[in-house]
Amino acid sequence: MSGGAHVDLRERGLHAPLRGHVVAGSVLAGVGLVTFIVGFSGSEPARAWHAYLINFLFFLGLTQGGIVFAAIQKVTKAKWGGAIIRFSEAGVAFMPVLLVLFVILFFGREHLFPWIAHPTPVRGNWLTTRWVFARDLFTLLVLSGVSIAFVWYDLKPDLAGARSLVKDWRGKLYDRITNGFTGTPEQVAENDRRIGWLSPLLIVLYAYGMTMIAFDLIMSLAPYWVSTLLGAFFFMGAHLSGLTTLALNMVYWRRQLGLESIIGRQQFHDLGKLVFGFSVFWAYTMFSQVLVIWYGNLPEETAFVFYRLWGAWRPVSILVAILVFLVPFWGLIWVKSKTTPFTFTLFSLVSLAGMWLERYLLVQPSITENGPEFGLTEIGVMLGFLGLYLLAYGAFARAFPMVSPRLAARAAELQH
Amino acid sequence: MTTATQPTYSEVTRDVVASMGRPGRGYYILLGFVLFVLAAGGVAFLYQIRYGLGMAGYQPPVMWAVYITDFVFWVGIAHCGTLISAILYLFRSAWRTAVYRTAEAMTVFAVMTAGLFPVIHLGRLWYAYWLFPYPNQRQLWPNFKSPLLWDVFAISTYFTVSTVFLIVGLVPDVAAVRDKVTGFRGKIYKLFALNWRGTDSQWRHYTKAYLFLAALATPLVLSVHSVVSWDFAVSIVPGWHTTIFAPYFVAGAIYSGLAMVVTLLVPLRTTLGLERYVHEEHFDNLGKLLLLTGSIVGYAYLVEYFIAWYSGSPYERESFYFRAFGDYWWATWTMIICNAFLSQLLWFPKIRRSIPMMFVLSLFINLGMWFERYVIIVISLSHEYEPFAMDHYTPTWVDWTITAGSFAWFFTWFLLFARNFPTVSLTEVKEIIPMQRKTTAHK
Repeated sequence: MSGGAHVDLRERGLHAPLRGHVVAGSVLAGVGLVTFIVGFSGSEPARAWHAYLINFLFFLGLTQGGIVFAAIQKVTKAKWGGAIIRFSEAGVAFMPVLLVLFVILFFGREHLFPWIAHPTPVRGNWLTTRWVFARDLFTLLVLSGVSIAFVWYDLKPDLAGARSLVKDWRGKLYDRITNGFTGTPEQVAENDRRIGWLSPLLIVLYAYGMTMIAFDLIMSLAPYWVSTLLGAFFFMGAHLSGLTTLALNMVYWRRQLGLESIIGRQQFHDLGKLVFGFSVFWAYTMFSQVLVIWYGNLPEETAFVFYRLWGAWRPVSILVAILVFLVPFWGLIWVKSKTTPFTFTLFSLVSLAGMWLERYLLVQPSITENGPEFGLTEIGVMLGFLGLYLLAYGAFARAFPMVSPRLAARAAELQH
Repeated sequence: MTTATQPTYSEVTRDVVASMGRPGRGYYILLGFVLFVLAAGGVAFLYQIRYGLGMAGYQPPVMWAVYITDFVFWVGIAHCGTLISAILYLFRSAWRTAVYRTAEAMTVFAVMTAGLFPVIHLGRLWYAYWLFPYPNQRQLWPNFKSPLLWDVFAISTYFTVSTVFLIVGLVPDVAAVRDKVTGFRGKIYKLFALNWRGTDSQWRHYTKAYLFLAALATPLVLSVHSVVSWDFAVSIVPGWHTTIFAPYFVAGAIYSGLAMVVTLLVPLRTTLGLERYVHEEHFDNLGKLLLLTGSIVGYAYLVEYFIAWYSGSPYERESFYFRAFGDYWWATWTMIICNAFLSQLLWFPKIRRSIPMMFVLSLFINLGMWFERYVIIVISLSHEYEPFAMDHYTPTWVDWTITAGSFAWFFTWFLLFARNFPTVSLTEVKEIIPMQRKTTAHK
């Protein structure tokens, strides 16, 4: 990559067009807020809280699962992702918002957790309001902290490179983050060393933290049901949703920033392979649970599965399997469908929608007597979360360069 | 390859062919020793056939014990081969080239070893063919709902695919060696070389075939050990019946397989003079994979214990308490320390890059993974629901001799292979050596 192109990338990365994020984000967040307030102050407060929990889990998954993609790229020393890594790191801006959203969840606890009204003494204090919220808040704090630190150090060299192009508050912010970093070999080595231990740490914390969240916020909703794989099922699914979100962001920003020259066939093909692979893995972890539970036929375990596979919830379960596995599997098995932006976007969207429905299916049947309900409340709250996500993402894109010329150059080396 | 002295193409051929030359006395002593142990295992097996499975210490409730442990252990060892040759190939990891042949050969021989145990474990082994699902005049029809039958399919598929993989990968290499050897071995190489001439169209077909094989073999890495795990998980024995078993077994299998690759590579590289091709960098990368899979295994231990407590089920709780503090506490702690704790040492690059350390660690991991299967199988069975039906099981000399014999069987095949076939892939190692330009060509 020539020097001129490098400077040009720096410029473009700093001037991301954000009107779409601001307008859509504000409108959707407003819609969500109104729906949620109307929902929980109306006749069906529980329904609003249910939707809130589902969306909290879904958006936590796609945000944190996306940041973990960046960490995995560092650990495996992958180069191809250099051009798109920032699009997954940008989600880190949503982590503090998620923390606040989790605190709000506290006020809906009576509508969500059956063990508040019917404690399970055999578990001691494990499932009590104080304990559950304290440890989950702590988990989320740690995850956010390490995620922010990771992105911080990966931004540092790029901010040092772009410092001369920004002024005002951005200038101050960059000075604060770069903290005297000028790109000397020692500084680069020191920075790489930090990323070198932050990225595996983030992956480990992600696995344990998301397992905790899954056990507390999903498994405990069905009081006597247990599945040891649920934690891994949750965080691998979350990683899949992080990848599909990245795919959508990649397609969007590629056009908005005019990055067709650096985000090419290679990136589409490789990300497509990952989405394909994790869709298959999702099906594998799903099947591993269903088979063992079905075969063992113990009532405390089967209730959870049978309730979803027979009766009113059956169509939802079938739809989840189609959207998360069947369609992306047959859609993305071909090279051409991975490397064509239109089809890749389409199948990523299908998978992401399926993942939302999967989180809905994990939560909702455990906490309601009714069959599937999908109305204004569910849609409104989901749009509200989406709006907040877009706003936070936009704020990151406003403040930081959305493309790293340094990492993009590394990815470009592969194409020769 | 980042060594200071890059080997040239001709040096690669020379060194690898030299590794197949006339072996020293040490080789024959080793081969003689493993053949002796193999014979001892055979004698123990004949003894068991004559006097029955009671000789192996089998008595209710422990009717699956050391042989099934061995079976799962060897199937597990087999997993690393396909991981390295298929999955790392798809992930474009260049470092795999120097080690994949060893891993693949190990895979095939480990499956061959594992395949012995269902037969050894049979009371009346002359009915072993009943396992195969074909309709017959006695109206026998295997139970397709039984995971034991799924095993037959999973493992025979795996054996077929990994053997094909090994043989296909060998073709260009054997062709290169064929031209340098005469006599009986020359004839064998001629057979395996499949008339390879290295033409453009042959290479095109070869690379295409390799890619497809890699893609088709990848799901097998997950499926085989998942099916093995379901032998246990679909029952309702406390300690067996848990949903995490499939991925947990797969991770454990790859973990033990990688450890066995390290165990084999360390002596191999020095005795065959392959230090230039298999060096610290490969052990560093193997160490990272060991760390990853070891951490997954550690995660699974933790989650299993936690859920056993969380479920509130007195049987689950008792089963896991008994594991850690009951009669077999030593087996459980061997497994936990070797697998979950020792693997964490691999966070330190110094340890990953120290070949002696990696060797010692790999031995501990092999031990730990053997005990993991022992813990799961024997302890769970000896301590099920009814206190009245609980009993203690102790392995007998027959068990141990046959287990030692299985190691001997495995090493016999491996020693014969290492002597007669290139254990480092000539072709693929050459692929990652940068092309020498005319101006910089030396010597």
